[in-house]
Amino acid sequence: MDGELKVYLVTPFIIAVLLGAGAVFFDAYIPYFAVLWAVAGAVIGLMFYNKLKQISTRNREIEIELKELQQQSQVNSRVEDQHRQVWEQIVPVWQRHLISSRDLSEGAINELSARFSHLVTLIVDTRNVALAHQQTDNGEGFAHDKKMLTTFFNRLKDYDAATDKLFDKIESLQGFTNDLDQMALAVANIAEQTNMLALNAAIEAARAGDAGRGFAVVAQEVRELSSQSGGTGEQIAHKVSEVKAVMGNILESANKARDQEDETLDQGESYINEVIEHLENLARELITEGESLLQVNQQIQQQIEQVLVELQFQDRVSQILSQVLTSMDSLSVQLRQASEDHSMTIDVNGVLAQMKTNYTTVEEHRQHNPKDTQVDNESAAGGSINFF
Amino acid sequence: MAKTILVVDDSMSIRQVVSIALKGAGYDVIEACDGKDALAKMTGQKIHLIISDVNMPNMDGITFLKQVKASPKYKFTPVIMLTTEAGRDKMAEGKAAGAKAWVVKPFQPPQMLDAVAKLVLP
Repeated sequence: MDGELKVYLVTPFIIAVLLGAGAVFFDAYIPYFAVLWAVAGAVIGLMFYNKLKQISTRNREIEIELKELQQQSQVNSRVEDQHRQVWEQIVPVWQRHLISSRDLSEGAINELSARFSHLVTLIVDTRNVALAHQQTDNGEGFAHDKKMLTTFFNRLKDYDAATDKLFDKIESLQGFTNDLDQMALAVANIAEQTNMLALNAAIEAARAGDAGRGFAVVAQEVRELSSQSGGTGEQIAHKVSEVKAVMGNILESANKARDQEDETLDQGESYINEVIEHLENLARELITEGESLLQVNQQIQQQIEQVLVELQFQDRVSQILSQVLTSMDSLSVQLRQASEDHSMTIDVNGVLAQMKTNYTTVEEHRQHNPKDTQVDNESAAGGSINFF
Repeated sequence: MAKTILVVDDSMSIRQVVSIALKGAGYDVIEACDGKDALAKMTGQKIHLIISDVNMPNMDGITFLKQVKASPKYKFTPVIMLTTEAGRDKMAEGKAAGAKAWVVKPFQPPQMLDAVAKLVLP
């Protein structure tokens, strides 16, 4: 540069000398102008020199800046390469994680839904079976059993009444034995009187002598007959007495048996009533507990159904994750395109607009721009029903 | 005889919720996982009502709805769209395709049963 500066410094002088010579040549009578031309040339040359020096300094500065910019550009280029590599290598990993998470949660929720659904089916089936039993039985079976027991017990009472009648008849036989006793006594009296009559007849036959001999034989036979009658009467009385004794024993045993039977029946009736009451209480408790269980059963079913309703979130989460994956793909394509074109320009607003068109849920619209209050006006609320 | 309702959704959990609610109300339910599956399963069946999702693989809900309305046998079968799509534009698209109602998820079974009772064929 110094050589160039010298050239820049000398050139104005030469020009000034040439101008001075020209002035002398064309105006020899005014040599002062030549001096002035030379001075002017020197001043102009000095000015050129200064200006050129400034330009040279600026050039050096620009060269330094240029070098710095080139270095910065190289650094930026490396950073961009790194960013692109980050996007191209790391984002797919994120995407795989997202897909894996979505699939895992979807599988788990589906499995849960299936199990809960099966539980609901079991609960409903169980309740239907219980209700069917309740409707068909409804205490009728127990009433039937109670009726059978009562019938059986009434038959026992009838049997007891029949036995009582039998015992009454046996007792009435004792009256007959008294009659027989009286009859035996009457027979004995008749025999005794007959004997007396026969004795008198024998006396009268003896008085009659031979004429009364035949009569005496008859009288003797009558006496023997009366004697036999008296013996028979005694035997009858004896037998009647024995029969009375046996009858007494029978009646005593019968009365004991009847008393025991009555007591047993009374106790049996009491026991059966107690057992029936106990069973009735148990049955009532069972019915109450059954109804309570059915209510619990229904509550559990409702709770499980509500859990299933809540599990609907999975569908929305799955769609949101799918949309995020689609957006990542879209951005990857744009980044690759920009890199290939060396333009390094990405239409961010275009990407955002594209994302918005892919949204399905209200949540996505809300999260896209939390400050946008128009979202709720433009979207129907979850759970809303519109009829057309 | 119980009325038959076709439930079309790619989400099994949604199908379970809808099915339990409908079966509890005395309806018979046929489940399908997308529009294509639904068209195959409804063939020859008497369907009293269809509940369909919108965003599904293989065949989306709007395409399925259009095919149902183009079918001589099922063109009068009422269709309820059950979807996460809450946008008015999509809703208008469903209406234009012939849907009778648009239910935005998440839904409550009693509301769904009310809508079904109003629309189901006699």
